[in-house]
Amino acid sequence: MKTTEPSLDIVRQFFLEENPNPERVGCPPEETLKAAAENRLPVNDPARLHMADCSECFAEYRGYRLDWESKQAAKRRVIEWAVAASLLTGVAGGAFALRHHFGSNEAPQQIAINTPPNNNVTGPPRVDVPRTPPAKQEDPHKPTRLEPRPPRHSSGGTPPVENPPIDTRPIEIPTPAPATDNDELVAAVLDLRANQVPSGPPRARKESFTLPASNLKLRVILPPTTQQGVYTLRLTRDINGQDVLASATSEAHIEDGVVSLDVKMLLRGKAAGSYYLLVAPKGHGEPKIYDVLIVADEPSSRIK
Amino acid sequence: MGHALLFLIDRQGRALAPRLRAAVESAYRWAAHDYPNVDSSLLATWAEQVGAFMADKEPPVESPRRYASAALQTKIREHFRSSGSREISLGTDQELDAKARPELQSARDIERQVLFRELRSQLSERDRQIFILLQQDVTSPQGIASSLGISYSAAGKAVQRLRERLQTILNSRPTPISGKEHDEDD
Repeated sequence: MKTTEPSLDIVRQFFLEENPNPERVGCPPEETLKAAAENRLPVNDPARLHMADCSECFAEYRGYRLDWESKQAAKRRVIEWAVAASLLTGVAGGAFALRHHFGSNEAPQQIAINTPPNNNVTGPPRVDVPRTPPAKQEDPHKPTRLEPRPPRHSSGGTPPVENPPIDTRPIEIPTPAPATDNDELVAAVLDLRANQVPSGPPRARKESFTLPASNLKLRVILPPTTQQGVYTLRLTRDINGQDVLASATSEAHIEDGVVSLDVKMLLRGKAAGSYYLLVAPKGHGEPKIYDVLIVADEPSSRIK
Repeated sequence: MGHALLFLIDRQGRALAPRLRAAVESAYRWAAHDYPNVDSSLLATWAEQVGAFMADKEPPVESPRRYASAALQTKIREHFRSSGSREISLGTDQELDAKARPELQSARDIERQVLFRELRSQLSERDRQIFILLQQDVTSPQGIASSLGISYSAAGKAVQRLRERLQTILNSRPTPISGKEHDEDD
């Protein structure tokens, strides 16, 4: 019954006036009343019941009680502010850490360069290279030199890790190896059942076939009159079969009445332009010639 | 709770010692909280009088806090006992509103006296002890039983009986008494 209602205020005033004891007969010491006000006095202490018969002690107790409640409220406010401040600090720190550790895509490269060389492994030191497609390079056979990454500044970054001294010499990147079976191949279909270039000059060009400048897993559909056997495909700049850009050999097979063969044509890095595709039985025979237009590779058009 | 700035000085105009000042301010805070129906400026005037008296007292007061509390309580008690003559005797300027309506103030004081008489006659010794324990946050029947030396069930029943009696007494009042006088008059 914490009396905050006005009606109970009157009842409390009744106890504050009803039992005057100006001579303070039988009153407990101040410290006892203070202990009762601060909930430090045992429940069965007789001083608690004394206040029912002494208005002065009850008034004194009320004064201590209000002071104690004010102090408790102040403590609660301080704690609430402290908790709020720590939460804010934690959230800000967490956000900073998250942003710093996970928000930067460059962090792995920096770590790779700073990693001390492993003496148990032979070969050039490992370097993370930016993933730029080699097809975009003007000359893929030209060695690329990377400048060492400048050290990170303390502002907006983690403090530098104390690692062995960084080798700042330019690092030479090995020449890209020729395309192999492990390279990414782009599936494509070249249907030659039409648009063969008429033999004999002058040649009136028809509509060209289009191929992307990529390493192709190419299915070539040959004209229906083509017989089974091994064929050689040459992509040339010259209609006479000179200046070969790429070539491949494969066996034609018939499936559901369609004659086709599968070859790999490594066209990655080749210059876009107009070429000739010469398809001839291996070893002998007159080639059939087709116009082919090689265009720059567009990743969005790739079929994996 | 009304707040007032206390000018705590002795009769020579010197500031009170910190120990006396703290005791008077604490007593004033208690009075302003527990007597919301008394004008806070009146309480402040009494507190200043108590402070000045304590500063001049010879020999010095040993327990300023206890003294200030008891002295202020005595002034409040006298204030209510002399309610019949208060309208024509003295008062601060802030009492002008109350002095303008002496009949209403007298009615309140009479009503208060009637209520006290009811409480005096209706509440037993056990009821008074339980109320005081409840005021000390001893609210569980177990704590009350331990303090009064009675059984748990008896303590529970005693608390319930006290609540019912207080409810009956307070509900029998014709009009509310407590609260600030000027608030009720508006």
